[in-house]
Amino acid sequence: MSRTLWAASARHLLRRPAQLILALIGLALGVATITAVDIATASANRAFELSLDAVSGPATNEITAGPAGLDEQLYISIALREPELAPVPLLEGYVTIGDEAFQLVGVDPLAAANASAERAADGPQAIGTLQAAGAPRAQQPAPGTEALGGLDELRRWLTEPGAAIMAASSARRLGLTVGSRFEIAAGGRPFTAVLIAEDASGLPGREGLILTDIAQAQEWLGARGRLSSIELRAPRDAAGLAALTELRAQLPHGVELQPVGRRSRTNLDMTRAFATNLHAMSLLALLVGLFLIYGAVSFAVLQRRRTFAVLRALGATRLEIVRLVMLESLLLGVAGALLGLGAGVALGRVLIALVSRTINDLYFVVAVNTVALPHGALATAVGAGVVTALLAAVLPAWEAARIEPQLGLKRSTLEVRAAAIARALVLASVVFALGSGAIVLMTSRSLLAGFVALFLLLLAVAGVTPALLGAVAQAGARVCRRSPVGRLALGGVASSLSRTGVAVASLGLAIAAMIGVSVMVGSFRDSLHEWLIRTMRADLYVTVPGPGFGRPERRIEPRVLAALTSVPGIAHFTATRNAIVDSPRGPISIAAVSFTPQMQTGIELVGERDRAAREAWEAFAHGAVFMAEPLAWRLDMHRGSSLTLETASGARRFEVAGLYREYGNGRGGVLMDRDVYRHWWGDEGVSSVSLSLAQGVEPADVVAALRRAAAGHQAIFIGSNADILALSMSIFDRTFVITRVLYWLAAGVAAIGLTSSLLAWELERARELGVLRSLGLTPGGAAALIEAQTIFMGLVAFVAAVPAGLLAAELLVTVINRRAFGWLIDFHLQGAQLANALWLAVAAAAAAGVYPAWRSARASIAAHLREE
Amino acid sequence: MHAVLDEVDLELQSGASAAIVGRSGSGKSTLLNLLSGIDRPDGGTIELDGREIGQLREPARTVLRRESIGFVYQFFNLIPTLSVEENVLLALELKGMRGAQARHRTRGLLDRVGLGSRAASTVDMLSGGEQQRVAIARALVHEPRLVLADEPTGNLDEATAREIVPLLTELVREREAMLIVVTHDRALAAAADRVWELRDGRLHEPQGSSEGA
Amino acid sequence: MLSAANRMRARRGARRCAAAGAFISGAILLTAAWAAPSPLEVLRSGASDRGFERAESVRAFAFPQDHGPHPSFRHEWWYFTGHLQARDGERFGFEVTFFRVALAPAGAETRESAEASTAGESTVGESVAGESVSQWRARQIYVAHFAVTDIGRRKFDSTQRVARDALGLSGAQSSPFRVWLGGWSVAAQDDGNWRLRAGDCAYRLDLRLHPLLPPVLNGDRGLSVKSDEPGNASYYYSIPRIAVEGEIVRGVCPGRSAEAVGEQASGEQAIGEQGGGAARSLDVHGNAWLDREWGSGSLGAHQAGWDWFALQLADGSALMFYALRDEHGAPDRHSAGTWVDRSGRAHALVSRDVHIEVVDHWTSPDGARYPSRWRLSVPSLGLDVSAVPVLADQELETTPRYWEGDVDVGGTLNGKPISGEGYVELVGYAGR
Repeated sequence: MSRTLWAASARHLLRRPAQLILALIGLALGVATITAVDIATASANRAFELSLDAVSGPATNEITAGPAGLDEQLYISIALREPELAPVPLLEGYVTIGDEAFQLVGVDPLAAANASAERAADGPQAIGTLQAAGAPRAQQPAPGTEALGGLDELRRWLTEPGAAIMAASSARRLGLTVGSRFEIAAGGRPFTAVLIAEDASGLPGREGLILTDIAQAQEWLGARGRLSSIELRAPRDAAGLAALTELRAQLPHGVELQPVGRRSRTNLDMTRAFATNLHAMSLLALLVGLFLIYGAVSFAVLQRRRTFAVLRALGATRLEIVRLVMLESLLLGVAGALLGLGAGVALGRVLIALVSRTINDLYFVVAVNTVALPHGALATAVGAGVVTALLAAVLPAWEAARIEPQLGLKRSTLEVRAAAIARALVLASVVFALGSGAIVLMTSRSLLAGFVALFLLLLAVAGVTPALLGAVAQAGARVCRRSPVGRLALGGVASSLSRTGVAVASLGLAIAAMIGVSVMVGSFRDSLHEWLIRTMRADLYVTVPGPGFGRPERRIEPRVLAALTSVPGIAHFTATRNAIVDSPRGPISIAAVSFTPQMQTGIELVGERDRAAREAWEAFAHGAVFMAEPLAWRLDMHRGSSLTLETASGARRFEVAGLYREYGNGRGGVLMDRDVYRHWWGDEGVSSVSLSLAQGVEPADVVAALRRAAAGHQAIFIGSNADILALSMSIFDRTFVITRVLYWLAAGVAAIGLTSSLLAWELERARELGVLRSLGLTPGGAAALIEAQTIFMGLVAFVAAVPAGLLAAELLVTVINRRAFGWLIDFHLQGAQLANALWLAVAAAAAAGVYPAWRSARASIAAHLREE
Repeated sequence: MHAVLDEVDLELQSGASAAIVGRSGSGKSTLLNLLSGIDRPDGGTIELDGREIGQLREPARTVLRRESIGFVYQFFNLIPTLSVEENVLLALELKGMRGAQARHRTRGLLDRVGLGSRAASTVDMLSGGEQQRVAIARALVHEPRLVLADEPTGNLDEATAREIVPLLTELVREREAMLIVVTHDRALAAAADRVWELRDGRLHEPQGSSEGA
Repeated sequence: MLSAANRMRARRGARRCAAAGAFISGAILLTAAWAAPSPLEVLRSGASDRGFERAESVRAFAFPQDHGPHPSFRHEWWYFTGHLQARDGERFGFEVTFFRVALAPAGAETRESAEASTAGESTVGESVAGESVSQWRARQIYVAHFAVTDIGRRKFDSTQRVARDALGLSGAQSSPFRVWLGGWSVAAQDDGNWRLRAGDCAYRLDLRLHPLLPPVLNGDRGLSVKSDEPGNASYYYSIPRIAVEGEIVRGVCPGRSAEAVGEQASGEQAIGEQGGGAARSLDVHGNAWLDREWGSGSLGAHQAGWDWFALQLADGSALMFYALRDEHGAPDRHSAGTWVDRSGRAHALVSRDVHIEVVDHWTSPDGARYPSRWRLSVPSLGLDVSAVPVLADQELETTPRYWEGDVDVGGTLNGKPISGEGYVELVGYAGR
């Protein structure tokens, strides 16, 4: 293609940098949001994987068991019988130092050393692995330079009580140096640890880990005689397989041998729905960005109608014109995507904190301190940005190609066509909306389909907005008969649909999304609140503080438990054990509750009438389980299904006697009688106790007595039902901070789009403004005119967005949440949510109008008139 | 819908020029569009050097335009973001000619229209007459067989118009091209070899000077 | 006199610990700070021997009790080397050693946990000290080395294992005598013989040992002084002639060859159990040497390494000698040895009694330059022999590495030709 043609393009675009910059920013924000979400979720996943790798090293398989872990004698027998499988015992748990949660890993370094030696016997390939793992096998320190070194550290590791090692960066953050003593809490029990060495490798995954000897870990975690896993390294050949098969056959019931990390990695599944939500929100930002690019490109085309007409007359083919416009947009897309990539990496660092906080609250402890840059995902983000830009350019390019080689259309013709397009878009919207409905009706479980339906719905809103804008503006112009300026303003909006329509559509889209999301969050919040109030029948709850759900070390010490429950004033109490057990369908959370008749009112069985409910409770008392709605959805189970769980004595099927409401845990779990749990898992631990007080007893007195009973033995958390409620709600709110951040971003992109469109529009009607000014409109009046128009457009966007937003909310509540989490939420609408949306719409529009208004007020009449 | 043009017969030889005059709305622009292959006639033939233009399809008509036709507009229609030289060069590049040869030819023609020294200027800096000279250079640089001019003096003052008209006809004649001018300008019309009046969709011999008064 | 050799072993034990430390870093997550330090440095700076008993004076040895462990001393080892021959004439050399290393003197934990518990919550300290103390707590570790020189196939194989003295993973006892680490062990049998079992994926040994001589006390009635510094000594005895019979199993290590897969799997099964029955096992018999040493001391400040010779001559006599050297390679006057004559009587040898000439050198793939052929003469005994490695590369793949290998011996004793076999250990050449 002609270089001169290119020069013309480039100069045209560069001559109006504001347009270009706004479009770039819009696209960049869209890409940045996607990138940031990718980075945040990938970093969290990566951190989790790294923490697994840091613990398991080059092991290939692991032996694990249920919540009570493995008997250490199993390790001894394997170590004696199968040394060449390089068995390494591990005991893992969570501890806290101050407020910060760490993963505690108890290990036997000598077993690890043997494993390394076995590896060394494997020949060059294995040595390569070893070196990759950081073993300083070949390097020898120069004489005299090394510290007392290995022997002394091994001595301290094995013989010094509390000896622990952590990453140098963690130590720095905690203000510890080698030799420092520090307080560490495991399951609420305080201990003194001493830092005997730092891991200065700086390897990712090491942060957030505390290493100690396996003996020390057993003592801290209260798991004497237990291991959480035995890692093995089997050669990846027939012999290795045979050895593993043979070993597997000899393992006791309830003990699993599987590829390393498989069990832990299923934890990652838990966060999948969460990540999907984030990605959907980020796509929304890009969608808004698409409108922005469309606006910029189509404006750039409109401005050059005459130029294109001349070019066509001079002999440029349609293809050449299309190519020109598409390439312009492509360049815009590439630039915007790259900018967005940079911004996304920065934004991702902010999001990481939010994401990891949420994950730690809801799922598992993970220290995310390295930013993972998932190359594939980043490439996808850039690609999405570029494709968006190209998609956005398709219509304008087609428009440009249709320009006849004449002197160019007059504006009015164009607007006539825009109005026609607006009408066509209404039809398209109807199709989108029908499609959205059809998808919802025709799919039942696919979350992706749910999101597609949501996007179609939002697109339908966007499509209908220009027509709505035109209609409202015309109607308004008619109403404003008495005020010529008002008529002028509204008439201007109506007659410039090609400009204003797109901007208002994108704003409407953002507002609709905002309404949808905030109503969904609000509904969820209300449902959770009601559920908590219904569920929490006891007066006081006692639990062991600490990270991680269902961790075995979060156990009330037996003597503390005895002391607590004998405090005067307690009418009755219920002990609960939380645990995570394996099943063929992945890990399952169990809440094992000492059954009391009072519980029946606190647990809402879904869809069970009185008699059926009585039967369900009867079955429950005889060993059946209740299953939380989310889990039932995920496993596609219902009342009467049977759930297979790995008990301490092997797999066993449990009947699902009923489903219950549960909003506390996005994965859901099962409820079981504690006697049943104790029988099958042999775990006597108690994770929490709920206490009902006798009549007339002052809760504060009981709390004080409880604290005295536990003092010096174990840190316990005592909460009244009001405390728990408040805490749950604050965790909930924290979880949705990210969602809020994302829809603000989307609104920001939309506002930028509006500004951009207004600038374009202002250029086009410069003459009109010039005439008005020459007729006596003051600069302030010109500014006010523009502001009035933009605020009007904001209002129209809001009007279009309200029904759409409510529909989107309905979709989010009944389809997306159901499909992502399996729970049913009651739809709750609050006036404040709509008021917020209105405020956002007007504020965004008003803000978007400020700069164009200022420019108009400032421009000289002559400048306005000189424009052709 | 109604026919704008009806039975227009017009034939030109190489190097000849014709002026077409007529009232607004008489179909002058439509005629130009037909001649340039922008629109297709409902019937009849338009031949250029023996090629039937009227029945060509896109993009053959576009190719025809860039190979064989040059345009001069009332409002010049230069590309504002390009320099004088680039505006002219563009016509050559669209035809596929670039490099030193194209530059040489462009320079020569710009010298010829008296703008050799302004080659690097942006077109905004030029006066109307100068802009039209650039447009003329652009219309001729690719050696078209036919030059179509739509009110080329319509946006110029009289003095300037008097410089432009001979320049255009002279250049066309030098290149043995054909020139068709649509104009109100009697002086311009007079400079043409033949003059037609477009009225009621047909071409007529001009009916004397009283017509235009 | 053999005390010096004891020392060396002590160093070696320390080295193994250092190696364990290094592996912690590799396998788990430690750092460059945990890269293998020089064991000589470790011993020299003397991780304190406070709280340990020291070898300061001559003591009375009693057997079989003294075959068992002496936990009040810091380190101790059981050191078997030997020569095996199959019925078809195939020859093997082997080394099986067990090191005991105490990281803290007995009772130290109690003291330190008392400190710790005052630092923390006293009640918690109590409970930890009570029923919740982990069985994994240990103050001693055991390190074992296994090496086989497959002379016919010109292959050398070595493996190191390490374990804490807890939960039966490793340990030693005197009655009945037994030392073990995982599946490797030496144990007294009901018939009074010992059974030695060890192996890795490539070779497994299951041998019955029958001492032909009573223990020979090295140095001054078993007290072996290693330097001028008091306490830098150990108790050291040897059994220079032990009849061996049993079997050796050749296996194949994982990943080495596909066809050997089945063999490897069955071999693995064999090790923990009787080890017999495997198709590739060979019945062997031969002659072994036991070195036993324990103490708490360290090396002298300038002692850098040693060469240790244990030669068994065909007429039933035996020579043990260790040549200590300083950091410049010069001989140390504390070098010493023992001559055991045909009748089993021991004669102490001192540094000046023995002349050693290095005839050749061998450079390991990693660049360590070892002496590799010697001429030893003891004019007072009329002994003049050369020692030639059966295989140049008998360097152990431990961290750091050392050379310990089978040698052929030939020369004259009192002018008459004599032959024999032996083991030589070369320490301090690699990984400095």
